[in-house]
Amino acid sequence: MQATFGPTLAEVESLQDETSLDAWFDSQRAKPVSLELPYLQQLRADGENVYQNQRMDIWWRNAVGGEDQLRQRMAFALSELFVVSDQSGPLQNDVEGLANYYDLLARNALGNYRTLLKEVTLSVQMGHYLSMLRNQKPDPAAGIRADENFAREVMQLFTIGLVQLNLDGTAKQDANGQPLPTYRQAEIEGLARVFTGFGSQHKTANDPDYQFLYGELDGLKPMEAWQQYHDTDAKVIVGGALIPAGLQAEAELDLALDVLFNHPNVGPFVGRQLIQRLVTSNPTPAYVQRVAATFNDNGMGVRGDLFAVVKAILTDSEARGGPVASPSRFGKIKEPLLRTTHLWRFFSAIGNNGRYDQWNPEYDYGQAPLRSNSVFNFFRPDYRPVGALTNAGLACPECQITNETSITNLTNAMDDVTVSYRWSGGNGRDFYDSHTVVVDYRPWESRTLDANLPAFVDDLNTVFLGGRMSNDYKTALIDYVKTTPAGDGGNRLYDLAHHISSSAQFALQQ
Amino acid sequence: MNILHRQLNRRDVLRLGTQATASASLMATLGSLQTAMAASDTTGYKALVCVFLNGGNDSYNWLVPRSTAAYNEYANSRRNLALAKADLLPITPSNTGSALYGLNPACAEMQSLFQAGKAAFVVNTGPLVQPTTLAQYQAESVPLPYQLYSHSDQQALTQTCIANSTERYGWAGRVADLLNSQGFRQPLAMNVSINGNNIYQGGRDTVLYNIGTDGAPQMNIYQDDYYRDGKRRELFLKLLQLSGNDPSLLQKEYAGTLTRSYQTAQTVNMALDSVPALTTRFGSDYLSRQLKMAARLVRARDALGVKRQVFFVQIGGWDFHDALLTAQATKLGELSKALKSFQDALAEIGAENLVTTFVASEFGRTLTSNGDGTDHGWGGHTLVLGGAVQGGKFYGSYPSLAVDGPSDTGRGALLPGTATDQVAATLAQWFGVSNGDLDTVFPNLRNFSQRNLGFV
Repeated sequence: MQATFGPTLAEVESLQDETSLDAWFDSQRAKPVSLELPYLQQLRADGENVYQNQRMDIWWRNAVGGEDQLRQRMAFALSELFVVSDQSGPLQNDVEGLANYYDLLARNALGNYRTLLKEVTLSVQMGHYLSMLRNQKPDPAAGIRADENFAREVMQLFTIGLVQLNLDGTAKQDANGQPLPTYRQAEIEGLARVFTGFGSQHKTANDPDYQFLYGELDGLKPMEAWQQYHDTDAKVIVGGALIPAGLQAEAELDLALDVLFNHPNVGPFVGRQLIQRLVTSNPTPAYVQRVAATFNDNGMGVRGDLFAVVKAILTDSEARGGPVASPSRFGKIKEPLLRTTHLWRFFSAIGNNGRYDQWNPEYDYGQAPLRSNSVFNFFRPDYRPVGALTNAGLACPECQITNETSITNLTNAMDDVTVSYRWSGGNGRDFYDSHTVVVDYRPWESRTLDANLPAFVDDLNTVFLGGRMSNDYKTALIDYVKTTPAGDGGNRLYDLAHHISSSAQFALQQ
Repeated sequence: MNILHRQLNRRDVLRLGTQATASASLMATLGSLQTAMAASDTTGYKALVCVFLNGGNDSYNWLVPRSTAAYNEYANSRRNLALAKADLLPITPSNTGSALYGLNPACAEMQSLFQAGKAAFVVNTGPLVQPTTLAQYQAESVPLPYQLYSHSDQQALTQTCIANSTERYGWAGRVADLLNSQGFRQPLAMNVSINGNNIYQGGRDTVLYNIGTDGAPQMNIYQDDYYRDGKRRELFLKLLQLSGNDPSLLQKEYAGTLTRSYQTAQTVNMALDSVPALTTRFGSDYLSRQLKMAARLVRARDALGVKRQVFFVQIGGWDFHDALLTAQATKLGELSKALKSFQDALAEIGAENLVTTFVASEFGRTLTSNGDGTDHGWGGHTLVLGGAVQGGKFYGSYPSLAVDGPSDTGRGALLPGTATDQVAATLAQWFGVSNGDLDTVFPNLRNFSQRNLGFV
């Protein structure tokens, strides 16, 4: 579950030793990238009108069926770090652009952070979302400054964060015990001027003013540098780094991104958040330090190697031994979308029409890919519910979207996924409309016969609860299922799937 | 945690509503009863509504000076973002002498509420640790709020009103803690969010309760027939109970929320259904739907058995780095209409004087333009509404809008003249917190001479 959108039995069994684990990582990296854009382009070529709905379809398709699970899982994690959203006006209709942005994350998910950072920075979608697109050099006569939006958030959210960090992710403090800020307002203003002069790819000699501001944009290509709108004065950016005067826009952007990328915060800042997305909400400082050290140097002198980072995260002794070493603190609440992908992967779910027409997962799940309400994602990495978790000093990011309303919507959605829409002996697919995503229980029906139940529940325990099912839990489940008619395997399966998936035990990933 | 193994019926609702110590889970409060003096006033019914504009409203294109010199100063600072003077909707505060002001043209309903004395502006508010002059800010000779200009941090500071702390208990949460410590009990949590978890309502000893715009969603397992005569529900509850044996604190948190949701939904919905539907029309936008739910809950207050409530509603989309003029007009129009519907609904149910609403945002924005938008600032206005509000007035002093002027900390980000603590303390005192207890809830309030701004 840490590395995929939900394990299958075969995967669990094949990854029992280190050699096979190493081989798995290598094979995952080598797999072709499951992309979104070509699918949407094909639909359009076939005459279909393409909306964000189809982008959701291909997201589910790749999450549930993509063979490059590790890459896709990382891409999803990165989509919650480098947030853009179709809730933002200019992106509402940019379906292919957003798909291409997600593909950009997937392509770079096991690549280098520096490359990823630049591609994100220059993407038209991020340009729209954090208003760097068509940002001009200051015009003092008109009282106009450079837009600070991207400059601020690229530091606060994408690279270094607000406070100076030790390698282990803890905050550096001043003599009074207060955290030391990473940057000051003046340095944001300096960086804002770096990000000036990027706009349309449609450069023409006549009327550049119009073309820069209003020229046609190709959402599938990076923004282009327009030197005449770029601020070429010297700038001071984070840490007092000096950007000299007179540089070309893109060279200067590279220089500034190098400064950010090489800041000592990036390893612990990004490493910690990736650990939180994949493994545990509250990694120990030692765990963060090991991952940050890998970010800083992959063992071959390369900084920012995300493949090495994710491997370090997933193979760390804390990731492997956490449930035993620290059962009260280790782990995370599963993201709602991942609970459904988990079920759908195991039960080979797909719609009658061959699609995943789950177009608005945000209603039931409180999240949907590239559909956050703000650049601060669906939840913050440091979110702590008041009460027991705050008192224990534990963060629970996913708890930010877990409340009395959302939890029941989600529980009912799990009900829909497992109970209402099933494909079993008694109910053929035709029973449901073409959009319904239907779980396929047929391969498992014989395992629900009374004699086979205990072994089957053991397997479900392994796959869905990571082996944490208590004997009482098993007994309660088996006793109940035995009261339902045998030989009606589909019904027994949806009872099993529903009760497991709606239980608090399933919500936890350890 | 104890789990109710039965459905609650109407009689239960009424009984729970009149019992001093109802089911601990429905209380949604934690911690033990203390023997403190009940210094707060919790008689009658009162509610506060926080309308949070997420992203940082551009306050100085919301409320604009119209007097010639002041308008010219405004226009000179805002340049291509200045609203035309002739387009402003005039308002006439009764306490600003000859100074003239106007609202953004999208705020017709707000204009009429203000003119009718049902709304007031607290101008140029923001997080402060203590009264701060520009010279002190520049010299950093006094403590300043943490991480100024960051969305997430200033949202927290605005909602905690402790600008020099990284603790994340909101001031409404601390009010609930205070009342709880003084023995105040009611069947439903004092803090009700219609917009999910938030800092504002989280207390040290008390939790907030979340409801949706259509009420509390109920689990399918309530449907006995569908669920094999309740046998499925029994298994669900059994597994929930067993989760209490597991060591994970995160899982316990999840199970606690699941339990609260399960136990409370039907009760709350029955209370909502027990009172007549509102006839006031609300828009279909998200803010309107949230405020409609707040009004419905106010109407159901007796059925719920509650005397003090704080509601949290929120709309996003206020981070106007781009297209300020058009984007803000859209948002303000939505806000203005929704607030009017809400006040109309309160009038319909005779609760105008019982409910005070305030509209806040994490920061104001820079007066200067970044091309077609503005960046993160500091001071901004708070709008307060309701029958109890001493409306048609400004509270606090309207600042100079000159770039490099006496309030400009840089780029036209204005130094607040009034602390959010003062605004909140005024609201809290109206809500029932005693003058003496204000210092418990607002530890920095003693730094300010004016403890109550007098707007309500």
